[in-house]
Amino acid sequence: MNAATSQEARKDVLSYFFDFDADDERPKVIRAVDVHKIYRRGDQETHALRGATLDVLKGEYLSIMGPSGSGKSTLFNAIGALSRPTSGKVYIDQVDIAQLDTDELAWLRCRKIGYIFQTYNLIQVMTCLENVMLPMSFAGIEGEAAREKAIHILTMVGLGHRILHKPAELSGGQQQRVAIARSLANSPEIILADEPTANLDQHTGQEMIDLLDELKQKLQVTIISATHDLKMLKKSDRILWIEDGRIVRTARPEELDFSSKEFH
Amino acid sequence: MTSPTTTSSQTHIPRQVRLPLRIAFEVVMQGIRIRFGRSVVTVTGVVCGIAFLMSILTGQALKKGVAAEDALRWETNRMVNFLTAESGPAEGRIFAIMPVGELNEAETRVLLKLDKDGAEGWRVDSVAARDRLPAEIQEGVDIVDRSQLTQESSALLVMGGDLPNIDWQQQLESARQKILAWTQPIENPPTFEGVTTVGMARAPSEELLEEQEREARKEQFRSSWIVIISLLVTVMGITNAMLMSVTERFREIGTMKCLGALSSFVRTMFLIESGLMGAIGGLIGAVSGALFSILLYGFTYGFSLMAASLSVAALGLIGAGFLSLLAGFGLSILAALYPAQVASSMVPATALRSNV
Repeated sequence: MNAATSQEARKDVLSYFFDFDADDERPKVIRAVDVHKIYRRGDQETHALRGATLDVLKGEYLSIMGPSGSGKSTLFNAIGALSRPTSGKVYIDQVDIAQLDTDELAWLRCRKIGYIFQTYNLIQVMTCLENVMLPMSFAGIEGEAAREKAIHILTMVGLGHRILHKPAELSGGQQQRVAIARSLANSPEIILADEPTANLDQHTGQEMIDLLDELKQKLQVTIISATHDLKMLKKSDRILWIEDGRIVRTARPEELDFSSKEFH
Repeated sequence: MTSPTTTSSQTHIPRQVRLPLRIAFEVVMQGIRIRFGRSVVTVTGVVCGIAFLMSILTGQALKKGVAAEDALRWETNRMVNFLTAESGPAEGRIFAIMPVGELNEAETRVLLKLDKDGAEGWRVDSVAARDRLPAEIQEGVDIVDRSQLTQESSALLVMGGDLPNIDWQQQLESARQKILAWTQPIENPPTFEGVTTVGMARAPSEELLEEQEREARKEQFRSSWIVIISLLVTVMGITNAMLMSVTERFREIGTMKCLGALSSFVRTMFLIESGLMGAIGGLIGAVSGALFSILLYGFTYGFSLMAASLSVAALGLIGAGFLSLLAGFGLSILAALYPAQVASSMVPATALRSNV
């Protein structure tokens, strides 16, 4: 073993234990270390994750790809503080989520992470404004301050004129804009998007991607999305493949040939 | 591995904010408004259960009131009959009265009945004695000296207490009819030469009382059994409706949890929803059940007897109303405990597509 590789290995090991930036200057907002997840239903065990390790840098745009049943959603849930791993560690903003109880996880989800769903998941009984204000009230921010901030965010996503409409009165693209606004309500560091363009047509999907890209530049948020959408993959900083519970490949979009078979 | 809270600069995780009830209440109100149809069905279930409970309770209270009023009317008639059997009909007669204490309801009614039957006048021996008589007859009362008390009188009525120790033969010397009547039960009633004595009151036999009590207990047991079953059905109905509501809102609950809602918030939300519907259902049920019972008993016993019995029944009615409201609210909360637990223990990932 030569000096250079042992140096590399040492750096790698160290970076697991300390906030040690091996290559990049940017801090790591999410670190997953050897994450295993086993689902038990009766006698049957499903090994959904078999040792996934990854770092996500601040301000990065990461896409996760993988066929259904690959463990993609499980990884997504684990790094989104939606479930705890069976073994291994997940740090979100340097906090080990396995150490947190249910209420503390709720706190983390409320302030550190914004969620965008494939089916928008707006609360149907509330207006756009109320939907955006809801996570604020969960964070203890209420009244005029919350209202002003919500209006500001809704204006930023281009819906300043429809704040008092109910979700059912909006188009799919507009609903997803409200959902994006809602995800930004508590100024999170991370935005977790689960197939955000899957239910939208090509044109609207592109608008959504441009909006996310714009917000990323403006607000310096980290975006992680599970997606098969080529348009999204092309905008990503990094693409990550998961298969059979393991991360099998990472690449930058410029290294890939999007016309190849695997993308169709 | 070192604890992350010590290695980092800004990662102390405080407790998530506990939301004021107001927000949960607002969310619930919006939910009820939107899913109005289903809420109405759930509330109707509560209304039916509580209305049944209330109608049974009202019925019991009214029956008690009616029975008491009925017994009083019986007692009055019987007492007057005992007296007039000796003195002849009250019409045109003068009665001397010696109220030794406050008159009870039955004694008051006896005087009113005698008045109604055409009694000519009343005699007492002092102002204090007159003031003890019912206001309706006080105008026709003559206050005379004790020695002239029984002059022209057809009977001397001793009311409101035991027979005082007086020489009754002398007292009744100048009476038109030498009748001495008393309205409170006396053991071993005395007799006096030349004086007719009438014990107007009879203590009810113990056997009869026991029999009545046994009947009442049996009746109460029967009706409480039916009431318990009907309330159980109501509870099941609410639980079912709330479980449906939870299933229907899986995604909504999951989304709220993703946005930072605590499990306790979700639980509170469902308990408020159920409690609210229970309170509304309980209120409507109590009013409609009471109305139903009052009308039913009114038609069976006649409204005048009902109205007269209300003074006795009123307290029971108010108690029944409170009990029904409490039952509506309490049972709804009880019914929602399990659904609320299901909702609050849901994992937030349900809000996402759920494929492993």
